[in-house]
Amino acid sequence: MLARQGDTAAFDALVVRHQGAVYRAALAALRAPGEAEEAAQDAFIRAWSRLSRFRGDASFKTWLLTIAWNRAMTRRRGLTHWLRRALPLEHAASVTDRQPRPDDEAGASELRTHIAAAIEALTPKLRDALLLARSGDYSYEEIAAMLGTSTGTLKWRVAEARRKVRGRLAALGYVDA
Amino acid sequence: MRDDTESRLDDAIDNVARSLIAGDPDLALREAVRARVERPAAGRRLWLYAATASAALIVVALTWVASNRQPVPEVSTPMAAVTEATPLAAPAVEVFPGSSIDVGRASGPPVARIPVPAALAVAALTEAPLQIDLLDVVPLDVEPLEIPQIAVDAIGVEPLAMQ
Repeated sequence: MLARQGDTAAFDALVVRHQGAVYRAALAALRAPGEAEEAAQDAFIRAWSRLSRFRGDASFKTWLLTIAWNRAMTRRRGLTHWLRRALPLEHAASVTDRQPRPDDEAGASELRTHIAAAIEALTPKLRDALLLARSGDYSYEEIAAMLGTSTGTLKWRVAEARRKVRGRLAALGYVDA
Repeated sequence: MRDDTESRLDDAIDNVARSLIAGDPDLALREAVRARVERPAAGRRLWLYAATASAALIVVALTWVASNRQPVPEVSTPMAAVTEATPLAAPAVEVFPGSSIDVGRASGPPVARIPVPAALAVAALTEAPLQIDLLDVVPLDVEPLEIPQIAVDAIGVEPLAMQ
């Protein structure tokens, strides 16, 4: 790997290839775009400084995502994040509105708001698992490596997160047709 | 990556979950990373130059100190002029009649202790017995001591009157 030998251009190509996945992983952890970008930047710099330690046991993407997740977790535990916490729910609604789906119907916006609130109310472990698994960027193996758990535990967390969200929606009167 | 228990609500949940972390990073991310990756490289070169210069200065300073150091003066007194010290004589121990030198037998070299004239000590005790005339005994003149009432209350007993 050229980047491993100090080739900054080669590393720049890696940044371009993985910046989206790294950013979205950080966003799943921090729930704030600005902080997610800072965490992603930190992750790339740390990866650059530790490239010599990358042994190739895992894929570079998994290794990079693990670094990014750890950086995001460090930020999440920090006071600054606590002060800037709480991504406005309107952000979620606006994002969904930017990507209209054909099966959208009247009242869907309200449902999305309730779902977003239910997801926010999940415990961090369940919420992390659900957001990462549903992002479409990562395989279960990659997510399990990031979170430091097994794929079996990860799948249980995702299913449990959906079950809890469904329960909350059922309490609001939403039932499957 | 879907479970078997899919439903319409599950679809909605997945869509919202996906939307919560949707989006791409700002274009500035790549530039920021590149700037931070290249800046330390230049910084490392500067550190290398500074470290090399510092090491060279230290070597020059040590060389200068070594070349200007004063030689250690030689010992002025030759070994041949040193006289040998003669050992001191052991102190003489006086032995009283009727006693003997008690020599310790513990570990280490034997140590002589000062002899005790046992016969003289016994004579001093037996030849001059103590004689006390009871008529010479005079009682001490003691003033009555006043006991505070609080102490009396604490003890609970009336102290004897002192004459």
